[in-house]
Amino acid sequence: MKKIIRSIIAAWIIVLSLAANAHVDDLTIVLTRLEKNMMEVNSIETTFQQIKKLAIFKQNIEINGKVYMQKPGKFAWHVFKPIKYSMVMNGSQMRQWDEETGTIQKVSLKKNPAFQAAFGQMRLWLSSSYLSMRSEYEIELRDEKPLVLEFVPLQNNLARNYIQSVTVTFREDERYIQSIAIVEIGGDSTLLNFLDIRLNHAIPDSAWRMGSAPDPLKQNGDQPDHLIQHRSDSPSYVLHETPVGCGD
Amino acid sequence: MFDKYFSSAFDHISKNRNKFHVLLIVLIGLSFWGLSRIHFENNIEKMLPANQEVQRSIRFLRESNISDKVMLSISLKQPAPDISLLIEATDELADSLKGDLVTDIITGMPEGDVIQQVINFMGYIPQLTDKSRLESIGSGITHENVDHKLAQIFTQLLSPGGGFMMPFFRSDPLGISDEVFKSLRDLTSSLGYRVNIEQGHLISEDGGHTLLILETPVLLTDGLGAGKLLAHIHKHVQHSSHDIVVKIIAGHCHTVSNEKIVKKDIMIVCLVASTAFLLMFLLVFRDPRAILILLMPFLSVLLSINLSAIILGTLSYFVIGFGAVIVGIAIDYGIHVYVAKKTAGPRSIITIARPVITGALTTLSVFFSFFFSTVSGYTQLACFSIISILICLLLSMFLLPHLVGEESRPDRKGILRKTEAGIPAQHKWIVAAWIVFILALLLSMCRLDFNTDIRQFDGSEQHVFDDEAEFHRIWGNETEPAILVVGAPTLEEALQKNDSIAQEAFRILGRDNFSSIASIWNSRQIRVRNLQRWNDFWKGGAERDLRQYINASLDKYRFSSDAFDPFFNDLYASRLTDGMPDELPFFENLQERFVMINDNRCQIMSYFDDTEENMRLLRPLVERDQSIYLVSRKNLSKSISDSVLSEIVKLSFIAGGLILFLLFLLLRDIRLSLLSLIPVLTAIITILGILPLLGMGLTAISIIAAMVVVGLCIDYGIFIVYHYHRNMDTGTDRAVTLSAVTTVIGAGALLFAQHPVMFIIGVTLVSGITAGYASAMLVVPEMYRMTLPHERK
Repeated sequence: MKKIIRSIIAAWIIVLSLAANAHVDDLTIVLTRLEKNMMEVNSIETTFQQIKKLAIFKQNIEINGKVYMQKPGKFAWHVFKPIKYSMVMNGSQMRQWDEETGTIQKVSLKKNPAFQAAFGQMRLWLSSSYLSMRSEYEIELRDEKPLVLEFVPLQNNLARNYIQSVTVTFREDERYIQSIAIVEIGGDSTLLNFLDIRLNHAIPDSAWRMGSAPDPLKQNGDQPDHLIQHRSDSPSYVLHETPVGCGD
Repeated sequence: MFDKYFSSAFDHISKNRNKFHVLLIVLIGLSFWGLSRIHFENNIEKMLPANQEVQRSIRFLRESNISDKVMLSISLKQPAPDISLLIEATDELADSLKGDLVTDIITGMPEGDVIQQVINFMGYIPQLTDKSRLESIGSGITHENVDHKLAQIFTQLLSPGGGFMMPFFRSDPLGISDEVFKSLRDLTSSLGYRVNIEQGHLISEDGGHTLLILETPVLLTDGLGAGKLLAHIHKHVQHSSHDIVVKIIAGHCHTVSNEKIVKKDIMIVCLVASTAFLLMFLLVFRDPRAILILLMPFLSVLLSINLSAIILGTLSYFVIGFGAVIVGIAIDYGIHVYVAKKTAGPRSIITIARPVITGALTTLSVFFSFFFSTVSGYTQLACFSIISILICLLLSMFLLPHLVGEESRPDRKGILRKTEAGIPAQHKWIVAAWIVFILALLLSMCRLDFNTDIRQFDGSEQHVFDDEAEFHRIWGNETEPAILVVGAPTLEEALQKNDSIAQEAFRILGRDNFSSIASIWNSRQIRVRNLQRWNDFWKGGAERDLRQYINASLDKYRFSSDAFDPFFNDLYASRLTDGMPDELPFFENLQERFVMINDNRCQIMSYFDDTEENMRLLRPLVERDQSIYLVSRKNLSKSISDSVLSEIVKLSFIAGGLILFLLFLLLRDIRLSLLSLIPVLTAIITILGILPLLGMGLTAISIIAAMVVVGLCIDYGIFIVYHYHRNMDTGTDRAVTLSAVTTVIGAGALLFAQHPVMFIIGVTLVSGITAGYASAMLVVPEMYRMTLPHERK
């Protein structure tokens, strides 16, 4: 009898191990397939609709704009509703502009880990490097048709401080993302839907300029140099420049 | 009179030599036992001039262990497409290295809850906001400004990374803490390295290297420990499961490399010198007992170490290291005694006693001058050297003659054969050639420089320098910052002083150029005052106004009514703390760099670029308070060199004066004294003239070696003058030749050394002794004939 029980337990362990391996293998296959599909995409141009549900706002905020990506390192995020805002990343350099201040701010992401973590997140989700993200996220296959992946930051990931999970839904052809849902630690959430996705089209030069989203900022063009603030080492929301000291 | 007393003493010891031999054996046995009981010091401060700036800087660097850190630059042999593999390899290596030799490892910045920590730190902002900043905040609380600020927050929240910043906006809508955060960022990056933080690790700008900073209890000066530490690191690099390349950057690499080179040099030198000595003693003296000549100085040093320790209570290792020099000088007495005895019989010892003792006393005067030094280690050196030379003189004069044989008749074989006393044939051209030689060297001396760069003494292998160059290419930080140190018995007192001095330094150098913890943390005294002012400010109407303006704009930007409650809820919640905010791990990391607490004494460090201009600008700040001082590593080596050089130059003059005084006193004849000085003069001019010809500058090391040359050459002069003046047939000229040859062989072997210090000593000794000896043998007789033709006794 003991022998039978031992055999059953052993068989059960083997089945479980195989199942676990099969699961890992499935995920690896899916991620590899995704990377392969998305590797073929060299440029993306898409409009987006973002719904932000943040505790600081009394109602959900809908944001509309355009996103451009050009491999290897260019990324542009232009918002034209409800505000006019542009953010362009080129490698480790980031520039942002908004109509309120009318100035362009330059930030070196390499020198600013906080900015890198914050702004790097969006680029991360829109990129195709899902395999390498396994060192920073626990990835779970939620659905296969359409493909849905859930990412939960690991302990060593700075994003763990504010992101609870990120769910990415892919297009049917798995060549790009259809939507991203980010749930933050405090309960805030962001849903990002991509519409009119154009893959491997020539990206206009104006896409990489500040405040040059197709409509209605077109006429603004780039800002004169004297408006550019070089702030590689401080947050963008500094109002006061008076130093903090030691009293009188 | 002298001969009579010496003769009487010599005869007395001869009669009771067995008793003296037993006494000596007992003393030697006691000395070997005593070696294990002596407290030896390894404190280099003892050997530094009493220059307060130098002493304080050295003590600070030693206590702070800043120089004892080990940096590892790690890369993969086969570069990987992303950083994860390199980080994995780095973490594996870091985990494997921890132990007794590596007590702590910094791999990067703690990321885990850093945002929460920073938000918690915002609770201290009310205590850190000074009067002028508060006035500035007050002037910014207008409807227009607040509306503008909320508009900015709204814009930022809608940006891709907006969610990340939301907690900061809610806790600080006016951006009051921005300046403190900027200072915080500046301080964390003030290590001076070009690093990026990725996945909590220190990554190079090219993304191909990681940096580990190891804390070790192994001191830079601990050669054995440094060797173990490097071996420990190499072992774990080899055992790593990843194919990694690790460059080790640490002072320990220099220690180990220098030690390796010195050991190799010493082996070559010992091999060459021992072979040459043995061959010379056996072939020239043709007597195995001649080896006993070598034994005398070694026994003297052994006895002297014990006697000096009894007198001084302690001895420095650096002083003991000087024993080799003593051996080199003192061996000459044995040679003279041996040659005299073998050439002219046992009683000839009495004949040569006067010149040998005169020579020894003049040599002693060189070391006696060290008593005039401000360096405590030099006093030890003087005591040790004088005792060693006196013992060696006594052993050579009274013990050696009995040990080398009891033959009543001279043993005149080979070089010890009997020759005619008197001056050799006349060659006036020798004097003319000598004058031309001296003039040529004087011309060369015009190009002589003082080289005070202490780095010239670093004989590390080329790969150590190559690794450092590669490291700085990747990570920057070619120059380490200078440090302003504020000391006080308690942390609060130190913080108070630091607050005050930092404000002045900010004013002088600018906030961006002076990295002080005062920019993010102040003394309790100031924080109490700031907090009181903060509370008064907000309770005095500012809170009411701000609420009103925020409420007026909330709808415009769709903010909820409680959007900024975190700010108002915590407005008066700041709690005072003693010392530092220890509950915040990121602050603890900062504290390690800026605060040092040792033996109930607190020191706060601030950093700035190590330039002469910055030092000049900040020096007035530290002059009024003894507990505040500057540490500049760049200036330190120069200050040490300058101080040592000026000390040695001062001592050289004192020694020169003492030599002259003793010479006149002992010889009682100004012309004989001047003749005796010819070899010394020639040797010094030769050394100073040769160095520029070899492209070398004058250094503290060459001056110390030159003092040894003076000590030896004065003996040559005295012996030769005595030899001719007293018409001695004791083989003195041959003894001088032998002593010069032995010294030149020993020093000549140093010319094969790779280590710069040994090479410098070799060049100085060989050139000085050769010139001094040649002038003693060729010029002195000729000059004697020219100046004292009829005065031979």
